[in-house]
Amino acid sequence: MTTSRVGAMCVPLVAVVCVWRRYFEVFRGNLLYGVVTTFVPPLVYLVSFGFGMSRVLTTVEVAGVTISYKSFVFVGIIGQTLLFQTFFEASYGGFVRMYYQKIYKSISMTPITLREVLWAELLWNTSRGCAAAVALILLGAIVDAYSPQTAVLAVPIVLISALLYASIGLVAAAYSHTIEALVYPQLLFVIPMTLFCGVYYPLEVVPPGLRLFLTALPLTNTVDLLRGALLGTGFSLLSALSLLGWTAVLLPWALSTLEKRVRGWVPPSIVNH
Amino acid sequence: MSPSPIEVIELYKDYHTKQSTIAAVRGISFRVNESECLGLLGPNGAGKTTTMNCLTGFLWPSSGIIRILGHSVAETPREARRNLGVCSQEDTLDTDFTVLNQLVQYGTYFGLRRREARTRAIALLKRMGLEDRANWLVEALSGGMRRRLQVARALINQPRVLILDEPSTGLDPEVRRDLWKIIGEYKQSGAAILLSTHYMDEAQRLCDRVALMSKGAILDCDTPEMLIKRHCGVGSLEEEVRPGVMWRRPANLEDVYLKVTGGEQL
Repeated sequence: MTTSRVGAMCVPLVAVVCVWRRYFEVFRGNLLYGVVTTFVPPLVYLVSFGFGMSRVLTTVEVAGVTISYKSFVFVGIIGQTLLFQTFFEASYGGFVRMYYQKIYKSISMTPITLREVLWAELLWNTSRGCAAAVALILLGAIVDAYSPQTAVLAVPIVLISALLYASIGLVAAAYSHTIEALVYPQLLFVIPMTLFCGVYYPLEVVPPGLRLFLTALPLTNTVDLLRGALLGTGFSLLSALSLLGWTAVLLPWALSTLEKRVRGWVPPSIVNH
Repeated sequence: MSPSPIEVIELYKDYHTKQSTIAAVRGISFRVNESECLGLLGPNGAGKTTTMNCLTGFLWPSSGIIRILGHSVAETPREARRNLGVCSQEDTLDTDFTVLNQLVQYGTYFGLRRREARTRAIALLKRMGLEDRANWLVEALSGGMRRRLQVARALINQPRVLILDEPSTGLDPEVRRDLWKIIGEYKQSGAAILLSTHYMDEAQRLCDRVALMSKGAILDCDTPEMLIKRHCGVGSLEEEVRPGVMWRRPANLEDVYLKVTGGEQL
């Protein structure tokens, strides 16, 4: 590779990092808010289900392997946290930055291009989700929910999943005509996924027809892969392919629709409103 | 010969909807030279903001060529915008930052180191009369202060080309005059300025040349004096300001505009 080609690749990366740093500076400026919103909700779920439900339900069987319910739900909540953190940061945060603050527009009038701004947005949302998930994974290793060595295996799954959920959040932001409209994907997609995708109970208890549908959903894939990596329930190639497939479709979709929206494209929901 | 700071050749911009295609800009061409301020004058919907958004690279033209200091905005947007300062019509200040940090952060987008950006930001805040508001959040500023901060932000990279889209809208007369002074000084330093406005006095005071725009086209472009002379003559005009009250006054750009567009209101 020639020097000029290396340089051409580096410039966008520097631009993306520069904008990512803007998000980090804001986060640092509101550190208490950032820490509380990132880490408190998953801890509350963990305490409630880990110490509450695990006294009622001691073990569960996943893919023929019997594991403690505490470990089972711990990993499920890591997946749920990834979804919540990245989706909410991307959808609500993204909408506010695009529509009210006009951050994307103002930065894209500098040498940084709009596409680079949107990549930074996507990576920031991904970072928020990853930070929360990695903190929980470390906590799980400390409280002996799984062995510390297996924790490393979960990192790529966390990264891909966070990218996917950030993309979903940005698609939601791009298609929403008002900030209130973000409640639709939240109530009709995100919340049901956390309740039906095997976070709190194994999918083996679900009727086969419904199970097939649930297996195709992104959170099922994330939780399935995380349990395989952290609890040794086995690697699911189908889940890995499904997760990569979702990401391959939604990531470019998120970037292109959001770019169109920032440049003045009007989503159908506004025209018909 | 150094390239013209702003060069627009046969710019067209259409907006497509399901029902129709709207021609927002229809084949306009102009240049802005160093130490020159060109004003785009026209009513809402004339195509001024669309033209400016095409110049900044925010909108893609349907056809035409735009060059900033010789760099094509379409082909090399990064190079084209390196020496560009933009104060857009809408408030795009980053409300997550304080007044000072806002400028510092914006400077980093141009590749400035934080220390250098901070030095420039402090100087700009002093020039804009905002130094005692440096640690305020943007939300706490008045409308006039926000506008001045937006102009300061446009100057953080010491641009050689400045695009100001209705910079004085909503400002009180005192702040407007102060802003005009700042813009005038910046022009004297060698910058090329493209300014859109619908204030006649602003255009007449700041602009070396004025392009009269209507329905996406430039109807005429010249110095304010020449435009007045060409379209209204050298004499004064008599106007009935109230029923039965006649007022004799010199012709101005508004008269030119009304004559050229056939009475279209600004």
